[in-house]
Amino acid sequence: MEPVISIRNLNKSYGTKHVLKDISIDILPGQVIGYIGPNGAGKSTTVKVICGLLQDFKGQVTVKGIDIRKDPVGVKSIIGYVPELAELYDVLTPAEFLNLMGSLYNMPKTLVDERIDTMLDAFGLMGNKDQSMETFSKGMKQKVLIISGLIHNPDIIILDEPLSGLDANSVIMIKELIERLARGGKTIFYCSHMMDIVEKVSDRIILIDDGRIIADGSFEELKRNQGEGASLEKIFANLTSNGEMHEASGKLMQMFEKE
Amino acid sequence: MGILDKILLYIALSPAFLYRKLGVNMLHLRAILTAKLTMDNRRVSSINQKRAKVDGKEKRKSSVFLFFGSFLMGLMFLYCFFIAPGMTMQLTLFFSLYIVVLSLFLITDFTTVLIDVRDNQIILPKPVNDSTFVTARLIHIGIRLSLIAIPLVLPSLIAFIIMHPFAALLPFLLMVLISSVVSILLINAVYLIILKITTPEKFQSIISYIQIAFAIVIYGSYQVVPRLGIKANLGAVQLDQLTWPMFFPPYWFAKSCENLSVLNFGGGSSLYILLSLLSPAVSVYLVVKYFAPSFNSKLGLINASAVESSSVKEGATKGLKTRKKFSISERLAGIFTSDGGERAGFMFTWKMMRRSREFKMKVYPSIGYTVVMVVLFFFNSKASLGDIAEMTSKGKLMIIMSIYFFSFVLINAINRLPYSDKYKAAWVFMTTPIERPGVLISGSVKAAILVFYLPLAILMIASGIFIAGYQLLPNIILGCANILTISSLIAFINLRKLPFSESDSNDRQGKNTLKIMSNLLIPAGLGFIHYFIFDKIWVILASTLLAVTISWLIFYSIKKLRWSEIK
Repeated sequence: MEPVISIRNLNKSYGTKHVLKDISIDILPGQVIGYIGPNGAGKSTTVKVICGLLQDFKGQVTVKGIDIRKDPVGVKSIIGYVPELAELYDVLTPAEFLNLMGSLYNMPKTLVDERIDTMLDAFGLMGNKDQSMETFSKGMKQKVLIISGLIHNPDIIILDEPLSGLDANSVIMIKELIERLARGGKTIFYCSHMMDIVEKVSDRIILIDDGRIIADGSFEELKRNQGEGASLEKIFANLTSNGEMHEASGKLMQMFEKE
Repeated sequence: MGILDKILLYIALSPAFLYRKLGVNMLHLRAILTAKLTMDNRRVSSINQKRAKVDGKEKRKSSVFLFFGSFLMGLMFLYCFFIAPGMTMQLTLFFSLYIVVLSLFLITDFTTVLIDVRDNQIILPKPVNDSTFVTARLIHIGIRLSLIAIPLVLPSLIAFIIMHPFAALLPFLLMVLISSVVSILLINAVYLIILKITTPEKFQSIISYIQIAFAIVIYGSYQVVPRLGIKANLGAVQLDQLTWPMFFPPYWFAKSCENLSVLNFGGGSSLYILLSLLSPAVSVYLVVKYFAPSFNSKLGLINASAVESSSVKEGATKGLKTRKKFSISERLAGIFTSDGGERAGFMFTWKMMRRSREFKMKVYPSIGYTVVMVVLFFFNSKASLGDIAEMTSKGKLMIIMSIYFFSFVLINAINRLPYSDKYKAAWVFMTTPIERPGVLISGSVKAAILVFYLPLAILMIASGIFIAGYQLLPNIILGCANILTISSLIAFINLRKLPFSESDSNDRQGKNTLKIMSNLLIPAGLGFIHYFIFDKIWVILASTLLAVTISWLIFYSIKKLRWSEIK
């Protein structure tokens, strides 16, 4: 099968800081990729490259056969991106904000209106449709963000910590939605620190650390390499820290005990 | 913290034993105040700081700016000492001006100081006792106040020392102190009254409207008052023989100052002294007794998360209103913009301009300034409506002036378009497939023109017809067409950023003023030319056609702007 996202030898530096070191990934349609790694590993940078937000990288990135450097706009129109903790124009109402997004995705107004109603309803925000978002809670804003990333029915959905601030019911709904979208042939790129959720939703997990891929495979495969019975959290810890955090917490406890 | 803050903080904290007696934790007090003053000085967001460091200089000077701003304002007070004869008259004028200006200054500055809702989340959960918290707030207010009040009074103080006996100095300083306290309590009362009569959500917007009005009033009064003062013969006025000043606190302060300096305590004079000394006490009592109890709880409500329940109730009516507005802007968008990005830019800008408090704060005052300028010009030129109707040269000048003066509002609005404190939300333009960002800008500029100029153009055409009949119409229409050209040209030159995508920072301000000044040359030049072709009807018609064509071409080029041309 033709990969829907193909990354070849991706390198990216911010000044002298080398953030991504020779990343190569092929992602097939319908895959749910769990993209995990410690803070500062380069997850968000990878996402920004795939979304066409960063242009000055080295290597080759194609999305559905489109070279991201040649046609970033073409790539943007088939990707739905839900950024982490993103700002919203909160003086607007959800309906107005989503209408803006719809127009920017070149969707006809009637279609946008129809989808806004359906999606707001599904997320339980129908009653807040025409209220300014200034008074919204974090979870409500996050729901609007998620809708704004899905409204144009993209083939590729990139979610960066999408569940932050959501209540348990919404989390269940999003997890189900991810499964269904993937079954329908959508490719999902899921970045998160919540290991238990990544473990459940993704059928392929890519672990990066310090700008390099250090593990790539299904949860089953990772378990086989790391010993049966291990959780993703354990695997993550084994691969990225060499038990340093036990040492660190030990040091912290010692500090308190001195008092 | 700047050097000024450090000095003031040192002075404020020196009576430590007194604070300890009140149960204040000095460690906490110093920590809170240091943090607060540091924040005041950096009232710019984290992103700006990053940029400032790249430039090699950090911005920690906002207290210095404030200091010089109020010093300049203080120079204006000198006027009282020059036009008025006698100490009572001078000081009555001075104290009136001082209280008004200080209160208005404080209203603009204190919203952030008094209503820092972050305190509720950051300081209150920590083991800080109430008296420390309250003392910190009071000292903070005191320091902010000194930063404004000291430079405000300084020029007048010097004039006072030169003009009056040395014995009057101490009473003068005392009265300045009292009137400062009265000003604080005055705004406190204003805040509390606003909080009493409206919902906390509306509080901030009302404060910003007061600030806008303040800016306009200050501007207008500095234009108008000197002219009035020269006309009024103050020498003939005998304040002592009038009864109404007796009910006027600035008069008490002036009187007490005079009487204290000569140690005259007889009869009425001690009454004024008593009143002056009592006025802060009485206002403290009023504020504490009647306003304060509800103040803190209501202040807490300004916190956005706490208003959720009340705004849900409003939801139904609010929703209807938005939908109605929607159709007006949408209809206009349908007429003036093409599908897709341009319409998105139009609708987006339309709503942001009308709802963003920040944008209104920056643009609405210029409407007031312009009105003041035009009115002043009208009176100075001594033109009459008859001049306009008969189109004498004076009348023509008046017409040209008002048409082109009002373009300043639009120019200012257009130059403000890229800036917003929500600039981070502009990621939506990056992640969506926009071929040419120019369409967003052109949609945005069109929205600005319709919001800020269409009503004015209609008003001008209507009043033109009303005053002078249809003969004036071609000229007004040429004026409007020219302004279309001017604004599109300025947008084309200046707007290389997406709407509301850039944070506003202080260091830009200087460049911006310069830029706006140079922008003003364009309408001035066009107005000048217009004046000379005023009576040549065919030239007028041809120029109108030309102006419309040029604007259309410029808009066309704005739409064609590529990503590589956007900063």
